[in-house]
Amino acid sequence: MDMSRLLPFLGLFLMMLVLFTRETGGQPRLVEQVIYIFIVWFALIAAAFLLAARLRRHQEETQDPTRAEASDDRL
Amino acid sequence: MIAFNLLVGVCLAYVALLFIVAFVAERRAIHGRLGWLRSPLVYTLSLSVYCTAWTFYGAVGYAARSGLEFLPIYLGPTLVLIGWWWALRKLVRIGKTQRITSIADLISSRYGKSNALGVLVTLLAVVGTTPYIALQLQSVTLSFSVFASGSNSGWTLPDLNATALWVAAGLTIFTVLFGTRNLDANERHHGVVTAIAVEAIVKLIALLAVGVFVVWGVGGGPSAVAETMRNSAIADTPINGGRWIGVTFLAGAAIFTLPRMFQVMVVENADERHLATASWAFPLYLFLMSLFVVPIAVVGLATQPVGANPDLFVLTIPLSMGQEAVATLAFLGGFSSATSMVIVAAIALSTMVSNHIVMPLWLSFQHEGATVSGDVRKVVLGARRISIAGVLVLGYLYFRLTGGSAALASIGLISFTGVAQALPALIGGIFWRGATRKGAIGGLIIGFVVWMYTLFLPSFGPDGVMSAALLSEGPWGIGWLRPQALFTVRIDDPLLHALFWSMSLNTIVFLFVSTMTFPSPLERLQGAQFVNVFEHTNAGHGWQEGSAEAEDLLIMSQRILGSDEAQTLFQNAAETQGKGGFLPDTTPAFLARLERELAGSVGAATAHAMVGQIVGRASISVEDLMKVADETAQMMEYSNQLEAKSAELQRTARQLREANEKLTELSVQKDAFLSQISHELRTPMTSIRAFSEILMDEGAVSKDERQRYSRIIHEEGIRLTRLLDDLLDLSVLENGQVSLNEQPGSLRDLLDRAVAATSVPGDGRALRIRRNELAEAVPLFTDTDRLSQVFINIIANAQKYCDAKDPVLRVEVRNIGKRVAVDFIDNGQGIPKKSQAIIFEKFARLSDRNAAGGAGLGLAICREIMTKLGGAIAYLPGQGGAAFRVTLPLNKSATR
Repeated sequence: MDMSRLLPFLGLFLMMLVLFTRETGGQPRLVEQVIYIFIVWFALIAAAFLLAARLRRHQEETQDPTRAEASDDRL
Repeated sequence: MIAFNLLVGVCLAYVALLFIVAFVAERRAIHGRLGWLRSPLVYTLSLSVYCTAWTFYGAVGYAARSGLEFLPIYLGPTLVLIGWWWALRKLVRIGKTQRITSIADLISSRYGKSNALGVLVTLLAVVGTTPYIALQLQSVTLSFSVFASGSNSGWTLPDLNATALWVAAGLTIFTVLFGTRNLDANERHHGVVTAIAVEAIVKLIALLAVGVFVVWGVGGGPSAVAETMRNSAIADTPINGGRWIGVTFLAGAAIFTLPRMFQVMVVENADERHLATASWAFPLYLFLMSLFVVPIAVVGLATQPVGANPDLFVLTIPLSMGQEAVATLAFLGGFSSATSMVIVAAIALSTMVSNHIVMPLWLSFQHEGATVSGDVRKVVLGARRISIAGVLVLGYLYFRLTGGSAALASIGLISFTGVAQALPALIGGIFWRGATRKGAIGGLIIGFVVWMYTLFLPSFGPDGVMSAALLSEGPWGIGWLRPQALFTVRIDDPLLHALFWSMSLNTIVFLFVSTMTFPSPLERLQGAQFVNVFEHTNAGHGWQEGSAEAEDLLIMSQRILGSDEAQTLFQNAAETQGKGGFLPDTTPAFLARLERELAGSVGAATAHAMVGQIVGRASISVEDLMKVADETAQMMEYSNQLEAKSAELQRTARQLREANEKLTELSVQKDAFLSQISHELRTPMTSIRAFSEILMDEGAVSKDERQRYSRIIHEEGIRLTRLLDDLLDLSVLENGQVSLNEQPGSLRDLLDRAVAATSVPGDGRALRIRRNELAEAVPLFTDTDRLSQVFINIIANAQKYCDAKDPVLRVEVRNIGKRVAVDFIDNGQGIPKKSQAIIFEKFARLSDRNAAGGAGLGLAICREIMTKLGGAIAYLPGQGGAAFRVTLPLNKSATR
């Protein structure tokens, strides 16, 4: 869960790196920037996919309906 | 060139297809065969209303104008969805439990069902969305015009405005047909959502097709396109860092606050878990939508004539290459993007307008109140249909007024900034219980005004709405009020400037006013339910029990929910309460449930007002408030209580364990004693019986023998009597029936008497007793007989049990505070530690050495006596032998 919450910050950080890559060596590097952004983007999506799958498994393990009722009873 | 009629035909065929899809989906939903209609895929695709014509056409135009800056518009939602969908999940959960119908409803409901807030957010949404709808109309008409202007086959577009009007009318019909079929927000618009999912697929395929065609068909493959990119003018456009971050933020906020996003994401959500899928699938969709934007832009710039509108490259590139099929597909994609956005936005806005503006007005004009006959549903649905038409008319008017001049992308961001003003109130509302209605209103108003003043009105251009002088000099020449340089802060980019000021002032006012004001009871109740939506799903109620008029409520509900549904609802409620018929008791729980059901149709504020009209009393009970009053504190107190309880339990358990050990040991002792006492009783009885039998045999015994035997019988009788006396004594003492015979005396005399009574003349193994007679000179006022009985017992015990070769008993007297303590210490082995606890118990015998016929009652009697005398007797460990301390209260001993 925490990993999933932190993912956007990682994404923001990686995406902001683009801002600093401009004009290194006097040459704008549009192609490299585009490729970089799309690779990072795709990696973020893949990470989200894995996390979502893991979170769902985790939730199904810990939050099945019987348990939810049990916790109600406890309170 | 493609013929106009053919294009219109394709268009109509496509629309017909959408109608069929929506119709089939509706039918399936009615028959309960939801199946794939509720799949996460359809949900994710429906989220794609985010990608409007602004994305489809505008992204390319944006890229052609300012390079990579279009990307944050899609990165923002990506970042929110990949990591923070739990926040969205909270919204969805709240939406479900509170029957939220729109973002205005959510905010109004959160802040005490305040209709003022509902109106405010509705206005914001309408003002922010209308230009966006105009943008969609514009894009559709522009795309028509592309085909027209490029045509050499003799058709020209009759009239741009007429086209826009036709499109608007068509969209109105579709939206009214499928968007206002039912009232209950719980029954989702399956038809619309499915149609939108289809449109999502169409626009994705269309854009990908154009992209593939541009890269491989026109650009000559990826490497050639990369080369074109290097040489393109776009490559020289540096990324503006401020805008990059600002737009990322705006786009991320838009996911929460755009009315249409809220509609598909929260209101139309069928299952929270779909969000988990959407968390990666929707970013993937955005990724694919953005993939070919830059290539299309650079190839367009390279191949299209200078001055061509880059917003239309998606259409013009295939057209100029003679690829009419691709162009038509692209046209359909753009058409899809525009229509899906307009449909959803119109539904969302019409819900807001009807629930927060029309219904309250209607209610206030109904002087008879909400119970008059007539079907309110017709009013609500009518209001919604008129609102849909109204929203589209507004969009059309905006389109006419601005003349379709503004660049597509800029109006999109202006709109985003406008609706983002709801973000502080929204996020604050669901995460912060201290947020108040006044704070939310204050923040929204200031944000709205600043946005209007610094961004929206200036966007019409110099001398549009604001005069050029006002823009450059400020109102009445007040320089620090210049719309685009507020407070003389120079932020070159007007968007960033407006974003900065509107959001920061909005947030500051919201936070500040919230902390300064105090929420009303209803606000507290709602706030607790929103913020802690995952903790307690059973909603607290807001009504007091009373003789509310169930019949009136039924009449009103029938008019909103329809008679069947209302009757079922009432019947179920009555059944739950154990009543027959249709009229349940109007308990707070029932009222709350009814209000929620109504809120699903007409919004929380209106539902609250309607129920309030009938029930008509202060709606928050003290218990409700108590329930929510600082739940954190309650939780902490609860956990403290638990801890205390657990500690107490541990203590009790320990005590119980000790008691149990003691009991077990006592029980063993008792058993042992019983056999002992049987033995004790039996021994004398046996000898008494035997000797009396002998005596009965007259001839066989001499006189001496008879005398001897009689004495034995007598002695045994005395022994038996003593034993029984002891038992009786103890029982009397224990039952408190003893009366004390108190009289003055001296401790020394008592000790003297005890020593004399226990001295056994002629015993070689005599106990020597060491005393300090000076210290013993303590006057007493007590039951001297009983006290000396105690002393005798102790000394006799020492005689019996002290196993030293040369037994010595020390008697020490000392004053301890207000008490006098008499210690009897012998030099024997003492009493083992484990036995020390039980020697004062009845029948306690430490050894089976049957010394002098003790029955193990002596010390028990002593303890009882000392308790009666107000003193105590205790075993004194660590004295080098058995040691007993007898304490007496000195005040008793010193008086008289």
